Amino acid sequence: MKRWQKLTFLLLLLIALVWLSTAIFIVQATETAILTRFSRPLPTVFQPGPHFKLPWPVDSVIRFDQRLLVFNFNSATEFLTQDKKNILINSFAVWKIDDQHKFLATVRNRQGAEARLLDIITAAVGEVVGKYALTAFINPAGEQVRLAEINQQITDACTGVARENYGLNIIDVRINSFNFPPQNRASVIKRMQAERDRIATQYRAEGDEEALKIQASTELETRKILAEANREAEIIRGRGEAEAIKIYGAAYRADPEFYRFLRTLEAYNKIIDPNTTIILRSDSELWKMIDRGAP
Amino acid sequence: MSRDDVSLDVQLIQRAVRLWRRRRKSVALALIALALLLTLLSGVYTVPVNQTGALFFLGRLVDDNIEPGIHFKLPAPLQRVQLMNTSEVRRTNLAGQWRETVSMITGDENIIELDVALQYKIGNFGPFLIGAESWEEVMRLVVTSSMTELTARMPVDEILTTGKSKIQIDLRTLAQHKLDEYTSGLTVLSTTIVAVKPPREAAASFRRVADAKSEKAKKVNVAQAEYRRNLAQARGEAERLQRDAESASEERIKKAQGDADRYMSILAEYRQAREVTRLNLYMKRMEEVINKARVVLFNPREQGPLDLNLLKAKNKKDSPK
Repeated sequence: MKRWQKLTFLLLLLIALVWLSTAIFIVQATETAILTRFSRPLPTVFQPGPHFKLPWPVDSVIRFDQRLLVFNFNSATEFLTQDKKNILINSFAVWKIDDQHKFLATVRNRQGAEARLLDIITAAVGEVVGKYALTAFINPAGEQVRLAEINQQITDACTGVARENYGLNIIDVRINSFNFPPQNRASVIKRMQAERDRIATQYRAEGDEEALKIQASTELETRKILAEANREAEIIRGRGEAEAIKIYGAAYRADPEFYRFLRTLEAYNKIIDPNTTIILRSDSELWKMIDRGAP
Repeated sequence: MSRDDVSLDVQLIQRAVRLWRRRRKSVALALIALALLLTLLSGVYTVPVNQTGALFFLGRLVDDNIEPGIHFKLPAPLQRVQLMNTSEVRRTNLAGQWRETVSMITGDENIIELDVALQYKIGNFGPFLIGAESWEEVMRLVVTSSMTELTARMPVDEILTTGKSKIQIDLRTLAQHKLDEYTSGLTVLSTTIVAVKPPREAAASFRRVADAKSEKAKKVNVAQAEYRRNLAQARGEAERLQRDAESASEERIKKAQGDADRYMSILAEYRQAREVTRLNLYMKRMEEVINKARVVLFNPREQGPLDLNLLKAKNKKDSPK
C-alpha cells in the first residue's frame, strides 16, 4: 500500500511539472510574441528570449515573424502616365510587422496583410504614376529619369495608411520593372525596325560621304605635291642655269673680244642651214679671203 | 556460448546487485556525475574552416561571429549553434532558371532583352540569419529594379555598346547601397551583364545596322588606302622631278664648264699666235657654213642693185629638194 502511494505521488509530481513548464516560453531571435488570456490579447509584446506566462489553458502565445518580408506583385498592372501613355508596371514592397496587436486585430496573418498591401500599393502606384509623364520613367537623357523620386513618393503614399490601419511597416516600395502593354508591343517593334533602317541608311550615306571627302583630299594633296615638286625643279634648273652663266661669264671676262669672235663663229653654225642663201658681194672681205686666201 | 560463460554472467549480475544493495547512494551519485559529464561534453563543438557560427541563448542571438575552432556551449535546449559557409561566393542570375532573358525598356523607348549574373556572399552573418525571410529574393528584386532604372536612362545603342560596362558598375553600387539601407547581410561582389540583345522580331534590323556600319568602315578604309597609295605615288613622282631637274642642272653646269675649259684652252692657243689662230678658226667655220648653204655672188659695181626676184625664183626651184 505504501508503495502504491509513492508511485501515485511521483506521477502527480510529473504531471505538475509538465503543466508548470507551460508557464515558460521562448521567443526566437526572428520573432516577437504576445499573449492572449482566454483568447483576449494582453498588451505586452515579448522580445526574443525566455519569458513567463500563466500556464495552460489560461495564457497562450501568438508569435509574429519579425523579419523583413518581401511582397512581390509578380504580375504587371497597366497604369496611365500623366501624358496618357499606357505602361505596365510590376512593383514589390519590403515590409515588416510593426504593431502586433493591430496586425492581429485587422489582418490576422500574412495572407491577410498581403491582400491589403496589394490594394494600398496599387492605389499609390496609380496615383503617383499619373503625376509623371512617360519621360520621367524613360529618357535617353539619363538625369531626367525620376524613378528614384517616383519610388519614394509611392513609398510615402503607402506607409501612413499601412501603419495606422494594419500595423504594417512598409520600408520600401519600388517599381521592379515596366514594359509596354502587349497590344503596343507590335507597334513598338515596328518603330524600332524603322528607326534601325533609318540608322542603317545614314551609315551608308556617311560612308559614301566620307569616302568622297577622302578622294577629294587625295586629288588635292597629290596636285599640291606635284606642283610643289615642279616649282622646286624649276628652282634647281634656274640655279644650274645661273651657275652656268657665271662660268660663261668668267670665261668671257678672260678676253671679251676673242669670246665675241668665237661665239659669233658658233652662232654661224647654228644660224646657217641647207636652206640658207648667202649673198656675198664680190668685193666683200669674206669673198676676197675665199677668193684669194687673204683679206 | 558455454555453460561456464553463462554462469559467469549470472555471477556478474549477482555481484552488481549485491554492490547496489550495499552502496546504493554512492553508485547513484556516480551515475548522476557521469550523466552530467556526458551532457557537458555534448556542448563541445567545432566550427570548420570557411564557416562561421552563430550562438543562440534561449532564442536570443548572442554571438554571430564564432570563428573556426573548438568551442563550448551549454547543452541543447539552452544554447543552440548555427553554422554556415560565409566565405563562399554564391551566384544567381536575374532571368532565373526558366527564362533566358528579362525584357526591359531603354531610354529611347526600345525593348531590350538582357540578363545579369550576380556574385555575392554573406557579409554580416547576424543580419543575414535573422534579418529577412529571404535576402536572396530581396537582392534579386533590388538588382532588377536598379537595372530597370539604369536601362531607362540610356538609348539602346549605348546599352548595346559602350554603356554596358558603365551599367555594370553603377548597378552593383546602386544595389549594394539599397541593400545596406535595409541592413542586409549580403555583399554584392559583382553584377555582370551576360546577355543583352534586341528582341527577336527586331534582331534582323539591328543586324542590318551593324552591316551598314561595317560597310561604312570598309568604304572609308578603301578610300584611305587609295589616298595613301596616290600620295606615295605623287611623292615618288615629285622625287623623280627633282632628280631630273638636278641632273639637268648638273648637265648644264658641266656643259658650261666644258665650254669654258675649251674656250680657255683655245684662248691660250690664241694668245700664242693671235692672227693665225683667228684666221684658222674663221676659215674652218666658214668652210663648214658655206658648204651647207647656197651662195649667191654679185658685184654691185657691175650688176647694179641685186634683183631679189631672182633669188625668190631660185629658192622656189630649190625648195622641193
